[in-house]
Amino acid sequence: MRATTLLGAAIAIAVAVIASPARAQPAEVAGQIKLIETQPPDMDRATWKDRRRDAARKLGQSKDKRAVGVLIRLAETETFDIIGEIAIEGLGNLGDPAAVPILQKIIADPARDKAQKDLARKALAKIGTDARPATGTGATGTGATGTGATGTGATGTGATGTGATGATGTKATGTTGAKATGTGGAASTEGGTSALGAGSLLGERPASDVPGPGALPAVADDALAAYERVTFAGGTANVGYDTARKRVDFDADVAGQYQKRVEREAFAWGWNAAAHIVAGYVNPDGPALTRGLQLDASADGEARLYSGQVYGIGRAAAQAQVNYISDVDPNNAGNTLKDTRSTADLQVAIGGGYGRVLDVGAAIRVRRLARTLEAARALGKRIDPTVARRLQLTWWALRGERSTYRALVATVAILREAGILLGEPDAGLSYEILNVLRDSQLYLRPSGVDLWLAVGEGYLKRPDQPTPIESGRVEQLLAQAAYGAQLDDDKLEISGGAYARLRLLAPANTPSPSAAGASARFRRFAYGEHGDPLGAIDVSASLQVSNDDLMNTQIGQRLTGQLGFTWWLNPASGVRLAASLGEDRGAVFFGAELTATYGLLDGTFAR
Amino acid sequence: MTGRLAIAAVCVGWAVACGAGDDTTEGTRAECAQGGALTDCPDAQRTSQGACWRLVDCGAISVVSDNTNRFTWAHCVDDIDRLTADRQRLVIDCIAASTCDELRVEGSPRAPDPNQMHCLRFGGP
Repeated sequence: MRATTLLGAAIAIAVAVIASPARAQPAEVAGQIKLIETQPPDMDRATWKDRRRDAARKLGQSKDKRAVGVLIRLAETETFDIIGEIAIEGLGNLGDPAAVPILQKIIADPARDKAQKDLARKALAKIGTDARPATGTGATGTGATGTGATGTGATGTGATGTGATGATGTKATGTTGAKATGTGGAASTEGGTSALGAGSLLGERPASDVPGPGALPAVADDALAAYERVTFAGGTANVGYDTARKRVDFDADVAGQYQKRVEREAFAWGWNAAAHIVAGYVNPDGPALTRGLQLDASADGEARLYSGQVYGIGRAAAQAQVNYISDVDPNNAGNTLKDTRSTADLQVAIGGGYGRVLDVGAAIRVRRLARTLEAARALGKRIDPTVARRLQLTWWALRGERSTYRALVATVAILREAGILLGEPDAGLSYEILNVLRDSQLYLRPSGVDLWLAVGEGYLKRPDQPTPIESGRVEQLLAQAAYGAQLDDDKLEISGGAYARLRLLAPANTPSPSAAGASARFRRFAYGEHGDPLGAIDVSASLQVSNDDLMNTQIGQRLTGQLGFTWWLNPASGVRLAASLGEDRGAVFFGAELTATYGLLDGTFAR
Repeated sequence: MTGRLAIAAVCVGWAVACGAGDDTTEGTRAECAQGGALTDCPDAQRTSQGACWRLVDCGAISVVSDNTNRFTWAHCVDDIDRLTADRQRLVIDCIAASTCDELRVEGSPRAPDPNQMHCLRFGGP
């Protein structure tokens, strides 16, 4: 009987021990505290930081009063590392009222972010006291117990939102206060004045650092992809005059383009508009004078109606170009050439196709962000589609910013609010996030398969001289294919494309020219340990064939290949190798360029 | 017609007359060579070689010819490279911005007259 009782007691103790959470033993507590406070000489800093977090977690579960002091210090001072949040949580588990002042201070601190404040509120609720700091009337003794705090402190709670219920100061409990904060935060976000953005690492930030929903671009909920691109190139305008030659020259090449495209499940559309001006004026000494102007304006649009992967396509394009040239012969001013030419196109095409190719550069940026956080052990949970969408639209909204500052602040704030980013990012992680945001290798990254075939009809206005190959009504068969895949953690890209064009229904004695081609490209991107783009290898090949369908014409075949390799050894040194090989009906063209730069990195000091 | 154009016309006529049967590589057309605004080409490289390849792509000039009087890709590159920097920029920019129909002239691609190519006129006399 006695043996049975003892056995039962032993089993009960064993079950209790197994079922209880792992806690630091008394002897271990001192060791954990020592580990937190002092880096062992034989341990590198990264390992120590990991071990400190583990130690803080164990202390928070230890129920040992000796842990309170060290956890209070961590909660108060460690605002850059997740160990601070572990300590706040641990103080709640320990339940010691000595932690109440620091927890209330964290809640009232505008420099602290929402996640830390929420943890502090939960900790206070566990301790059983009020979230409001012990300021104001009679607060000193009673505030800690949550019975006499005035409404002053509720203002601190309201700092995370706008309509905090606790702002009335009528004995709001910790739970009520927390709820009011959440509501206030949500309300403020909906109002477009997001309260995100407060944080210690990047300083006190205005709410406007995170664009509210009203400032984000309007993209339909079912959109698979969308882009809007504005390109303006006006960098080649030159003007000069010198008295030695008495010569005036001016030239300009200015171009602008706007592109917009939206891909939805059942519908896709896009349009482009572009203008290009080339102007020149060369007036050397003497009668010679050359003046010229070329204006080109074009617009095209495309719409697709999808049924699954199959779609019907409609395209339209218009273009107008005017050329003016005036050239005065220096030896005979009467022999002046003046010529003005103009062309105009108006065309439509309809057809069908399969699939689609999307530019997934922004999605890759999100994936790189997740991998960066995971490597830094700061990824609390995966980035879901809702957060990914918000991040991408925020970057889109901030694309006009000269600095990446707001994009960084907004990204961190969004990730923190969503519970994805654990803790405030330290300097190292902030740098890595910045590298992701600035990664220029994510421009135009195709993914998917797309094939279409269409019949086009249009009117081309051409000058009579020289005799145009195509003019007036022109019907044609058009086909295109595209492929893109992003592999190996998005560091490898394989893409390709093909086209074919044949003029149909050409009048008698009028040629029916045709052309077809295919190309493939392979790109391998390399990054450094902290996400710095190091370079890329680029290999491509293309094959083209054409037939002008003229008397004595030749069928053209051209095969070209290119190899490009760029490697940045350090910020001042790099290697660039580029080679190209082309063959056009027996004529071979080869070019290669090797550029190696080695920079002596300066070290300087000034007092 | 001006005297210079008359000379050019004679040259073109001679070139066409003498062109039949000679060893000329016309080159291959790009997608945008015909078809109007529905077919498009990427921007030409802003170099003399890039601009002259655009002329080949458009069927304005040939790649090579055993007739040294022909205005081929090699002549095109040499002529542009000889220009002063300002005129060189103008010619290259003009070719890059032109449609293929604007670049072709009478006799293209086997025996084009460069004096009729409006972009090359930026190169001066």
